[in-house]
Amino acid sequence: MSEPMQAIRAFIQGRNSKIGPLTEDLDLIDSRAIDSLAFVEFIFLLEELTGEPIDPEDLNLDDFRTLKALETRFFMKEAAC
Amino acid sequence: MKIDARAWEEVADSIEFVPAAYSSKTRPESAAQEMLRCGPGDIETLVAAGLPFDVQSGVRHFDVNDLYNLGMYSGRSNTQPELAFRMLFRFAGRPVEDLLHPKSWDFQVRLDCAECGGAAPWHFEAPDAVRFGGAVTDVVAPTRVSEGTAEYTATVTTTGVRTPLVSTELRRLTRDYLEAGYRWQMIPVAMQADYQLVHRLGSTSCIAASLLLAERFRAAGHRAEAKRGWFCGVLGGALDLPHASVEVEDDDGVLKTVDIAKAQLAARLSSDTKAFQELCLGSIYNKVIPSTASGNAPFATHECGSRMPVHVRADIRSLR
Repeated sequence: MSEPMQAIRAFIQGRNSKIGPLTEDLDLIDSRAIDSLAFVEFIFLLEELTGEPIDPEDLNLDDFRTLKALETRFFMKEAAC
Repeated sequence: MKIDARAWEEVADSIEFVPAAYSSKTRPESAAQEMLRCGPGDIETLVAAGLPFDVQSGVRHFDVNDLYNLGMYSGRSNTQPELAFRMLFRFAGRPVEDLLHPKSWDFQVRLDCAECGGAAPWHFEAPDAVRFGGAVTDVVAPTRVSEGTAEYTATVTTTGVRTPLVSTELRRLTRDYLEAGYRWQMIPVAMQADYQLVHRLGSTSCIAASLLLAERFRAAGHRAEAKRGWFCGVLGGALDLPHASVEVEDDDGVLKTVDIAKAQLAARLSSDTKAFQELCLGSIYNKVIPSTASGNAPFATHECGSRMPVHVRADIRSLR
């Protein structure tokens, strides 16, 4: 697992001590693993990890639904090039 | 993280806590610590400084509005409310031309009737973008009679138009309000309708400010009404942000909106928002969807007889 994805897992687990196994397909929004306030913190974390600003208006919630989606959207650009 | 107890005491002293009559203490102590990025000792300090709470199943619970205001005015830079508003107002420092073109939104609202009394008709105060040059299409409204929950969906197009207030009296009343020193706070909707109380406490909020300003505009001889709507384009629909502003007929006969709370918040949160603040004083911009609801009216009702208000959850996403 890449370092950024480890940081993301640590963020989610640090705020959800009772969340149980954090599978790649767990819906992070519907399960409330990331609620609306924590979501803002999470975006700042993603900006730090990617080194790029994120426009809150351009967000698509589906990019945040699962660990798999997060990795694809934010950390697999180089592999896609 | 433990911070200086005096700092939290000062923040608590500066906040008008929600009066008991309007308070709903739903957030446990653990959530308070997370929102304020603080430890148990800091919560003790806040409680000693007057933060209201009640005890449920042996755990202290707090009103989310109180926690929001403590975080927002803490000056810590890392509380969840501070981060949320920093993210929320990024747009206000950008060129305002971005706020003046047509923009379409996937608008979805879920209505939940708590303690529902059975099948009954719904009434929903729908998006009303047409009167400001926008459009509402593909509408699917709640079926006439149903029980428990209902949905409203539509495609809403908003657009911006630069129409600053021309009346010197309207501009004076607006400026006087902005300079009066009211402090923006997160306030329960029911309390905001009691706008005289909110202002007596030295506080303000979008609904309370709009109700008071509309009253002053009417006293000055203008047709004016506080109206509710939604502020959109925020975190892909993750934040539900009901909004209110004043609609007033200006000396040139044009219906204008005065978004007094946004102007005030933008000024407080960032120094590079002068152009946006001016846009708030009469012009229409594309991040607000007006509705048919007046300033202190609920967005939805269900005629089942339940005494609980209908819970309205909007999910508004930008369409490309």
